[in-house]
Amino acid sequence: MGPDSLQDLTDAGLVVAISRYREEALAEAYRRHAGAVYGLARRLLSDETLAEEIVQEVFLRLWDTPEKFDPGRGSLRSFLLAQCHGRAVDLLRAETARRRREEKDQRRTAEAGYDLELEVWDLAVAEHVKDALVGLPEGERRAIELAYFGGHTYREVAAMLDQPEGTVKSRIRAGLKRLRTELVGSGVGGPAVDGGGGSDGHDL
Amino acid sequence: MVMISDSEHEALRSLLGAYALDAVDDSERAQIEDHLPGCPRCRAEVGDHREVAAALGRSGAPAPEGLWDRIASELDGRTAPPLRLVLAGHGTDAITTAPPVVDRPSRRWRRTAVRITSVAASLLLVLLLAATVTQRADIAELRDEQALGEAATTAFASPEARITELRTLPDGNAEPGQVLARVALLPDGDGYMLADGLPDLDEGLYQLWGVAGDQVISLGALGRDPKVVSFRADGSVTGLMVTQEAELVERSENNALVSGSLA
Repeated sequence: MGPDSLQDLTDAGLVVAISRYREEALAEAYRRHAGAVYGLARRLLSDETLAEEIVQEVFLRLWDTPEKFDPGRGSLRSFLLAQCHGRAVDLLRAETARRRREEKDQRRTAEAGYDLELEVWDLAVAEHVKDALVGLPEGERRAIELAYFGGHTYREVAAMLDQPEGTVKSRIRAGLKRLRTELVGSGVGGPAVDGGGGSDGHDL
Repeated sequence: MVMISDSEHEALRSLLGAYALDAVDDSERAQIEDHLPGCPRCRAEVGDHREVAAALGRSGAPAPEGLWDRIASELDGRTAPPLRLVLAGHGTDAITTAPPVVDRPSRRWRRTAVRITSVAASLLLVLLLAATVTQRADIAELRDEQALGEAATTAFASPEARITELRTLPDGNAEPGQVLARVALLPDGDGYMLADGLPDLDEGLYQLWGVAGDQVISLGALGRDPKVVSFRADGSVTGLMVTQEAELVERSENNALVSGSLA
C-alpha cells in the first residue's frame, strides 16, 4: 500500500493500517486531525508546550492501541478529540492548575468582560458551527462553553453562573441536542468532513 | 452491568451531555461507564454528543511544525508492539493488536524436543500460506503474510524454540485433549502460533494468555478467525491459554478453551 492510496482511505481504513504498524498511516491520520487536537488542547490549557505534549500522547496512544477506536461508535476525529479533551481536563483539574484557573476566572467575571461572543469568535471554527453556537439560548451556550472549553464540571459551572446544578446539567444536554439538530439542518457532514471521507456513516 | 430502575436510568441519561464533555465528577463518571456497555441507546447518545463537541473543537490551524517529527522519532524508539497479527484469509478489518505485555525478568529458556510436531506444523503452515496466497490481491499484505509465514516456519524448525500444543480442556465444549493450535516460542521472545484448529467465531474474539508464576498475563487478541499469528512473550512465561471473549479484556472471567505448557 503506497502513500498515495493512504490518502484515499477512510479513517477506519487508516486505523486498520495503523494496527499493522504502518507509520505512514499514522502520519496521514496526523495530517487529517492533529490541527484540531492541538487547537482544542491549546484552548483548554492556554499552554503551547502542554498542548503539544497532549497531541503527542494522543497519537502515540492511537499507535499503541488502535483497537480502542471503534468506527461503529463515531468518527476518528471525535474519538481523538475526546481523548485530548479528557487528558487536558485531567491536567486542568490538577490542584495547582485549578487554583490558577479559578483566579483567572474570578478576574474575568469581575471584569464583566467575559464576552462569549468573543470566546466563540476565537474558536476558529467553521462559520456554520459559529452560527449554530451563537444561535443557542444563552444559558445553554454558556454552560457548554464553560464545560467544554473551560474544562469545568457542571457543578462548577452551576456555581460560577449561580444556577441550580440540575438546570446546568439539563442545559448542557439540551444545548448539545439543539446544536446537533442545527448542524444536521445546515447540511454539514460532521467533524470529519475534511478528513478524507472518514466519518464512516456517522454524519451529524 | 447492574440493572437499574427507570428513574435511575433517567437520572443517568440526564448526565450524558455533561459526561460527553468530561464535566461530571468521578463517581458519576464511574456510574455512567458501568451503565454504557449494556445500553445501546445511551451509548449512541454519548456518541452523538461527542460528534457535536468535535465540531465545536474543530480548528483550521495546523499543528505546530516539527511536532510530527517528534512523534515519528518516538515511534522509532519504541519496541514493536507485543503482538503482531495477520489473520490469513480474512479482510483487513479483522486485524487487532494487543495491549503491552508486562515486562518481566527473563529466565533461562528450556527446550522441548518435540521435533515431529514442528515438522507437522511446518507442513501445515505451507498449506495455510498456499490457501492465503490465492485469496489475497493486495501485494503488500501478501508480503506481510509471507514474511510472517517464513518467520513462523523458521521458528518451528529452530532447535532453540520452545514448542507446545494447545489442547482442549476437559470442561470445554470440544472433546478434551484435541490439539487446536501449536506454538513455537523463540529465546528472543518472538512467538508464533498456528491456530487453524480454533473454530471461527461469529462474534467476540479469541484472546491469548501467558502463565508466568502465579500470574496470567494477556498476550493479546487473536481475532475471530486466527490462522498464523505472531506474539511476544518473555522467558518467564511457562504456559499458554486461549479464551473466548466479547472484547479484549484485562482479566478473563472465562475458562480457557485450550492450554499448553512451555515448561
